[in-house]
Amino acid sequence: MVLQPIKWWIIIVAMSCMAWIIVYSFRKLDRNRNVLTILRAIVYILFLFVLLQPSKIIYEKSKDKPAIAFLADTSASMKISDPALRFKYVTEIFGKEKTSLFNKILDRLKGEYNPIVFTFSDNCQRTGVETLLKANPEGNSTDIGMALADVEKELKGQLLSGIVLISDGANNGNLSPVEIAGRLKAPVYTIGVGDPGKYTDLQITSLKTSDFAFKNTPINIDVEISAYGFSGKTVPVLLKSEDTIIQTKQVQIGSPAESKKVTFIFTPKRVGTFKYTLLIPPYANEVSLKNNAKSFTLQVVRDKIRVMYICGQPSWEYSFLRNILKNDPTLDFISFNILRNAENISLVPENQLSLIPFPTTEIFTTDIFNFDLLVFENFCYSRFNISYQHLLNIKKFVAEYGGAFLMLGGDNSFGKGGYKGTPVEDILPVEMSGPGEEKISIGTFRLRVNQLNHPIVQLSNDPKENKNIWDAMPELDSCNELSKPKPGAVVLGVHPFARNAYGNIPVLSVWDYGKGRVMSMASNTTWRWSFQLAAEGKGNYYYNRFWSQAIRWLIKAEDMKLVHLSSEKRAYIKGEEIKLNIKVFDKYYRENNNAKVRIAVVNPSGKKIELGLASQIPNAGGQYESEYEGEMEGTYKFTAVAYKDTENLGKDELACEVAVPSIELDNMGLNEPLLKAISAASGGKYFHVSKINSEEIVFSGASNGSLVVGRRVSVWNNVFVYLFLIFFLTAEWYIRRKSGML
Amino acid sequence: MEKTLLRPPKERLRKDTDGEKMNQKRIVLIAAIVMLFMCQFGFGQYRDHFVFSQLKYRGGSWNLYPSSFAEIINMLITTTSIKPELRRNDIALTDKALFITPFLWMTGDVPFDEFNAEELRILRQYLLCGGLIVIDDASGNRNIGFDKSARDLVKTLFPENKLEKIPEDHAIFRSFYLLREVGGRKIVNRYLEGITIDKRLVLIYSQNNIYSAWARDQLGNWLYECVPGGELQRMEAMKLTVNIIMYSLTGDYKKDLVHKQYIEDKLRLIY
Repeated sequence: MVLQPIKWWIIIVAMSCMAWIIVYSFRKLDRNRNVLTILRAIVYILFLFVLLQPSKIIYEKSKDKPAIAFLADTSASMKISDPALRFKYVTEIFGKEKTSLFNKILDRLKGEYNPIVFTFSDNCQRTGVETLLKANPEGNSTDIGMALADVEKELKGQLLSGIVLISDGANNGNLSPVEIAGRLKAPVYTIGVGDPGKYTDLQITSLKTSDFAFKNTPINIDVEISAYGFSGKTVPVLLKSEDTIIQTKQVQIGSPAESKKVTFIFTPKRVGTFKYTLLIPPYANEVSLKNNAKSFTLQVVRDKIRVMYICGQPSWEYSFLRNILKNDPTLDFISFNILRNAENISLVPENQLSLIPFPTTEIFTTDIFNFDLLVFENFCYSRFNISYQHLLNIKKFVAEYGGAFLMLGGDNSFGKGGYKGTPVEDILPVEMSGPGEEKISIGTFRLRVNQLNHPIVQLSNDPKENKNIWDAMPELDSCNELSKPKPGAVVLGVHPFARNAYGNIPVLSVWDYGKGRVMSMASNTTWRWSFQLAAEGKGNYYYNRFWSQAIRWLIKAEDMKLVHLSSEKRAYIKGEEIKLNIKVFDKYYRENNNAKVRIAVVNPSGKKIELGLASQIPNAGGQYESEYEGEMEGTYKFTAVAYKDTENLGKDELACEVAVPSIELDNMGLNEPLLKAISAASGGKYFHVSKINSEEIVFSGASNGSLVVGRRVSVWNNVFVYLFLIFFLTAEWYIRRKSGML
Repeated sequence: MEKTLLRPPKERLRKDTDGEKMNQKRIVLIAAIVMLFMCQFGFGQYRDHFVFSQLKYRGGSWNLYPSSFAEIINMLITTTSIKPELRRNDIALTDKALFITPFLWMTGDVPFDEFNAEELRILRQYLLCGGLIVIDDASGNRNIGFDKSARDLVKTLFPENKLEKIPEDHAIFRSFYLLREVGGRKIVNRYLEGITIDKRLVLIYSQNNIYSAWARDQLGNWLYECVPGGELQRMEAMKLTVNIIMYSLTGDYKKDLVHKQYIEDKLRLIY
């Protein structure tokens, strides 16, 4: 008996309430109390009975014929020809000829079984033979486990005597077909199509690497390749950036079907987002060329800005700059300070001095190319065997490698330092005189800033405030009397009253040279800005900001931005939501919770789509989010622009790849071990399509005895229950009436 | 060590006759007067040179051993690449030119007047914003006199920081010379004390009277004997002074990784 699922304590409470009502209702009766009590109790019991809705299950033996399921694989891998088209075997098995396997089996079964045909790939569908024969195998995946589970579910309630599965076994579903076959209680006969001996294919099976890398830091790219039919051959695997081959690895294949792992170690040299491809060159007779390549997008970011500072003598400019640069977590700061010159004498043995040799050769032949910024302050190169070639390397570092160079003034800088006529003069944005001609303009002066909008000297986004800041900036002390700016140079600041034939002396100048940038600062006393502003209670913010902006401008830093756009990953599957995260800072590089962030995307076809405002993430300082679903395959380029009121804080960009999953193209060889395991787990047998013995495909009745089917019949919902209810209610009414209670 | 090497160049040419001595004394006197006159105004045009500033304060004896300065400068010029100003910058906390010279030397041998609130505010700002002060106790006594005044000053300046012993491996002990001991005219403590803020020493306190170890008379003889270590101790005092100045200009440069192995190897050889 089956009852409604009402908790037992509710039933007890209900019965207790009923009993109490009965006792309370009839407590004052003198006559017929017992009779009325009994009648009322019966009525309540009948009500409870109806509420519980009791029913019973009747088991009966099924009268249907036992079913045999035929499962035909219609995934894309069945289009492979190795050498014959695999799906052709399927059509032959189900062909109209009497000699087809399907017809042979049916003939033998003499109509005692019900054949049901299914096709499967990434889903499983019941179909007819006619439809199957016209099918085009193009399913995106082969999920044998799901197909077996679906057949079991579809045929529940029927006697399933067995399954005939025709497939190449190139399973890529998540469910384990062996486990599901094992619980079916019906044999699965598997027929494998495909010829391992004729299957030739090379594929990039898997690729593992990070979504981003740091510039000049090696990353690993782990690749797995599978080779079928290439035994004894050496196969090249290429790593390409766009169209350029970066590395090649040769892989030796030993057996006819083999997987090999290869690791590429690659050091990105440039910052940005780049597409890389791993590729195996196509070979003749490969069954598929689509799986020979896999691409990925790599975002290369700058790790730390590497600064090399060479100072010709201990100075407060070095001391103050070192203090801010060394403590800046975004900088990797290395310096050499010349503490003693050749003409100085030593009062103690050398081993009592903390001095180290100045590594001229290492720095100027190799080391500088590993840095982002080279600074010379008051450094006399000629004292240290620095040759013309070394100076040429500095020029190459800037022009060809995109490095940055900064020269600070002093007695050993610019013309006074003998740099005229050297490759260093070529890269400087100003012209200079010879060592005997260039003078030092002695005396304090307030730098007159010309280009107040330039990012280096923009100490406030408000132009008026910026001008006021520079007008009140403490004085510098002395500067090299440089000649004039070169064509294309930008003079950011001049001496207010020291002049030469070309005008006011250019003190602060910048320009682009080749791939890099150069700055000349004719005075090495900017530390006075810091110290004296501090005296006025203004701290060293402007000094820090000036140098921070100068360095970041020089090295073209991405992180100068106040807006950073990122996503969880760079590669998405078509239809998957791309989640974007935007971090916004204010001009003081503090988290900005009051910005409006607009997102736009350019899809693979080049169409720009406005996505509107990003939502602010609560309790996550200065962070905003947005999402987008890529419907097309290809590269999506997102742009985030942030505003605060009318102030544009900046923008950032991000590229993401959307691809259609192509797991069906992986591992397309005939997987006999899997098909054998499926049949073994279920008590069936495996046949290769070329060697089927239909006599061995046998079926029986229900393997667990007679199949019974359970049928639920309700007990409460019948007329007698209602008649009894009416009868006892009427009886109570009659007795109460006769007793004068109504 | 030859005395002549430590004297300013002009003194090497001096002939030992009475008449010439008198002339030279006059010249020196006049030059001193001019320099004093100029120092009163604390001129701020020093280019990129190192400026040795001596703190003038009320009460006490701020101007001990005036001849020491020249000796220090001489040694800097002779043995290092530092370009010092040849004139000492005597400066009070309230002088406008204070924030042009980030190095301050304070010495004395008797108690001094408490710094008022404004002076304390200025000095604290000076030190927090990049300056360094060296307080050199010339009294030779502990807990009384100048020492008490100095320690009280430090407590008032930095109530949240304590004067702590500067460890032996600090950058100041290897900024130019490799030092394992501190020198001075009279050793009271075999260590220096200091206050460090944001990894930078802002205040150095010595009780060993470093300054007077440099003092000479007009004949070029050392004015004071160094106790108990004699001339070796004087040499340590001179090396320590150079190191302190070098530290003020280079910070913890000698703690950079590129120096580590060299310095460790040299220290193993020395000791």
